[in-house]
Amino acid sequence: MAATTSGALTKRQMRGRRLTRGGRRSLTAYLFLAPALILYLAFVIRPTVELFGLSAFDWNGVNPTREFVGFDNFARLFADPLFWRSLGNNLIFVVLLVAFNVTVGLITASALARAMRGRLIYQLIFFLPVVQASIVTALVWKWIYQPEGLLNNALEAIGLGFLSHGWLGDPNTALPALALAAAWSGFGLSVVIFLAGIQSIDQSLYDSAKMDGANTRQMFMNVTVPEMRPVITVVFLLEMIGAFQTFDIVWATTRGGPVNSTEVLASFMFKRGFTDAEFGYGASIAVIFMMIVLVAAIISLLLRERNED
Amino acid sequence: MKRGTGVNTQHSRRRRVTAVAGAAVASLALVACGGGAEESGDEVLNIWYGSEPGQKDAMTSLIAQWDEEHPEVSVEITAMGPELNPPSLLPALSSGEGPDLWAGNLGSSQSQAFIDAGLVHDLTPAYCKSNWNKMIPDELAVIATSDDKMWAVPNSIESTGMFYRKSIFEKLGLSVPTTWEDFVSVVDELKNNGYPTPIGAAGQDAWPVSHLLGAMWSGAVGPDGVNEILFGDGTWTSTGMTEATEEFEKLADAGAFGPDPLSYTYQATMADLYNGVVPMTYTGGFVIPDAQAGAGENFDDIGVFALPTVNGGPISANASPGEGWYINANSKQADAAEDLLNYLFFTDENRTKILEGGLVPVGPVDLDQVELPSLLEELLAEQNKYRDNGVVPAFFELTAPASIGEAMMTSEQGILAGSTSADELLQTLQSTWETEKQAGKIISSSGAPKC
Amino acid sequence: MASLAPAARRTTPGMRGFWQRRGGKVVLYTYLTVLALFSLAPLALAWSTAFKTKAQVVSNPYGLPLPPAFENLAEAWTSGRFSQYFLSSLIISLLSVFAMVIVAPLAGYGLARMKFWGRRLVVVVLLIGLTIPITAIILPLYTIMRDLHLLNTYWSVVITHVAVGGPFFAFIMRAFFMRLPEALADAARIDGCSELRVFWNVMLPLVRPGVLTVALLEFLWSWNNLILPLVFLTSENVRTLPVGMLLLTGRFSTDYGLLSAAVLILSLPVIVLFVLFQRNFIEGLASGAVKG
Repeated sequence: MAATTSGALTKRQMRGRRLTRGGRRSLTAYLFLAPALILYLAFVIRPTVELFGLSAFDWNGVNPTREFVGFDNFARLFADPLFWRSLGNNLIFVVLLVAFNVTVGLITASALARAMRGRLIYQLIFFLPVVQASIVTALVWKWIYQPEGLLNNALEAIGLGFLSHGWLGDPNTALPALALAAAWSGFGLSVVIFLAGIQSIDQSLYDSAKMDGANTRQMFMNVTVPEMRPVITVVFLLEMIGAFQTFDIVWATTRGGPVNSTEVLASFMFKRGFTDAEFGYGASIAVIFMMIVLVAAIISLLLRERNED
Repeated sequence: MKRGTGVNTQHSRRRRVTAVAGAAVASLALVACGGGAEESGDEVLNIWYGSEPGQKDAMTSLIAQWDEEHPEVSVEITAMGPELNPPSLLPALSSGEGPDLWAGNLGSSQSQAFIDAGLVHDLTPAYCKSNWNKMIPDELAVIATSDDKMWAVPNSIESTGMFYRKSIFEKLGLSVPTTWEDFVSVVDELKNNGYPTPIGAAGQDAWPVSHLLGAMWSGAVGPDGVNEILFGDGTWTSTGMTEATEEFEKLADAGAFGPDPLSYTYQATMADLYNGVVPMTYTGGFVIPDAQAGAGENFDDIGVFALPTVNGGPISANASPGEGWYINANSKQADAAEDLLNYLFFTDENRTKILEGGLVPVGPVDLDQVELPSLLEELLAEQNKYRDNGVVPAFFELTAPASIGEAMMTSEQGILAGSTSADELLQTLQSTWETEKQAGKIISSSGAPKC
Repeated sequence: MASLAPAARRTTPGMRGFWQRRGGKVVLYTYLTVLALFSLAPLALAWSTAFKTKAQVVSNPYGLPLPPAFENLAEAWTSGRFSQYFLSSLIISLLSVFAMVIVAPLAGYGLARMKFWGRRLVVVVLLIGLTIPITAIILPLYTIMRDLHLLNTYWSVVITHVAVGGPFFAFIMRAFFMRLPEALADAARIDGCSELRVFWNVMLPLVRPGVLTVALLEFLWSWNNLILPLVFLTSENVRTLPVGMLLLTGRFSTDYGLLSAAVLILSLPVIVLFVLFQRNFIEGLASGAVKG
């Protein structure tokens, strides 16, 4: 060590200095992040970790003693037909909602981009439902879907009375009806995001596509969609996570009925945990629930990164 | 008038006003982040209502009266609808918080969990010492009992029956049916004479359907049969149960519950009964205070009859406790809360007041002394007519774990939708029952606590 | 496009071309108007019902409330205790906004402008937070709040709002900071400013629209949240509007006039805010999503 050359020493000193500077930088950065991170770790991550712990117990949520059962709750869950039903319903709900919000959102945004007159007012109207509380959405739509409610009266008024229906009472229509209510409260958000995306597309791309003789469909598919891909991923991700976590709108309308046709993971979990006082089991549902959302989110994020490369 | 037309609901206004008045102890001045009642010096007795609307009137004024007579304690009532109780109570109690006294579901899984966790105050000493045992009939006390201890005071005795519109029956020349065949032909007559929904089922909420099917079951198997199933070795798939369920399925298939039984909530169904759109619906006395206000001038036109049995067996009376009043084991005000319960439910004067409010308190009451709503009087008379044949539970699901109640509601909706058969419903219940029995989660037959 | 020859237009109409032709315009505005009706009708139903008497609700369910009656609003506001619920909601939302506009820009700046050890891990951990449903962790959270003696205080809800929403708003702020030229900060650093000064004096004033967006969205979310106040705030003194609204749906009857009044009271403040700050709401959200 004593025989180190001056050159090596300089290198070491340099490295040391760099590390110190890097370390100080990291420290500063963490100071900036501290308030958010501390709150987040203490009030989101910690209860989540505790939840994973709970899923290994047979516990009613209140008893001072709880029995360790390992993975029994998960075994029971995978054998529970209602779990698979809820998962299936949830997937259908996600697909319906995401499909509606992405397609209607894209079409509406491209229409708005062309509508010089009244763009702001339309945008305002589409966004009004987005700022409503979910409890408002649920209660107002429950009212609309009644057998003598607004929807059936409107259908009758335009001569489609034969379609009128107890929308939330029919196991075949209850889930799509709730998805439509959720779409009502959500599509405005995707419209404004898509509109911003379209407006940031370089106009010359359209012009050159037109020079090459592209038609509407081709321009949409060859310019709009590829240019919008990152935005579509974001909307897709936001809508998917939101749709998976749907609870308020189900709870305040059908509570999972009729005949379990609107049971989703969150309501299934809530019933087991709170109504049946099976908190350990409820926790295992929550764990699987989170895993699914997480895996889906990671996959779409990875797809997004690949697209950006 | 078409189904589902709104009905004047003046009553709901009054109900909320009272609910609010009870809690008016706390002032609007609260701005900071305090919360809870911090009234100087006083000990506070916190009460959560999970009670049905309408009951609040009589109960709230009695509680206020008690509050006045007890200056050392100040009562604070938090209005808790049926929506708010379950999600709020569990975390609160499990954390050693929560109300001193609350009204909640009897026999539910959640209540049993609280009892198992030692969070509920043992009422057995008061039950024995204050002679509550002489007031509460054993068959009702059982439901509030586990491990030979009394955990709750039943709020009321509830009975059910087929509520109907007298003028519609008169107009069509129909008389109150006493046999199942009569009943089926009444349904047919109504259906063929401008009433597409002869019986309002309230299938969207499902629990009202459980009352009807439960009544058909207990009619078919009788009091002994019910006890066999709930406390003995009987099965849910026995002959009587099967007959009753198949009759229910036949009714559904024949359109007795209308074209869209699953689309109507209980509220919508009752509004239709008040408006004379639906001529019959099966429900309980708990709706009477509401009906009085909701039906307006049509209230006197509503009658009630006991449902005939599907197999011609004798009709029994039915009774179940309504909600139960529980005291928090961690409450510092347990003595005061016991005193309040004693005051509300076990003094003659106040029992009469509760009865006048349209709610039948548990235990003997002198009906001649009070002016009752006509419908309640009719319901009680109908019950007394069949009391000699024994008493069956009005709420079948109350005596079973929550999973049974849920399985009942789901399968009933399935029958109404035509996707489940009577057989499948009973099979589901039997297998759920066996699972719960194995897990030791069914109510024991030990009877009321011994004093 | 106007310069395109008629023949060319026939062969290559293009999307813009289509929308700009006369028939296209009719289709365009018909489509937008139908969709606008879909958006507006449910709210119009509730808002107009709020001004109807009980008799009008039955006799004239879909018409205009003429003459307008204020009994539902008055009743909800006074005897329905909505004035008090309103105050609770307002306090919770304002406290949440205040906390969030401090926490989110700091974190967003750290994420956008600093290279630090473990950055990737922090980003991933924060992203995971976006996928955790509050319903799932409500019971463990409740125990934590109890141990901190925060139950039935506004803080329990405020802290959870900020903790749960923190990652999302940090990412929004990050998108705003990333758009600023690095040279700005470097210039300030050369002048000897500390990192906090750079943030406070140079960078933060430039992302004011972003901060406003965060404030508006946080207000919206905490104003509308149901599950947290439902579970944490069981005392009536601190009850919020959405919980109060849940109380209005009884088992026996629903008073639609009163329910509609509650809808109006709950939605009016956010709508006023939204109309006033439409650009910030929309541009903030959109730029966060498009450029983040």
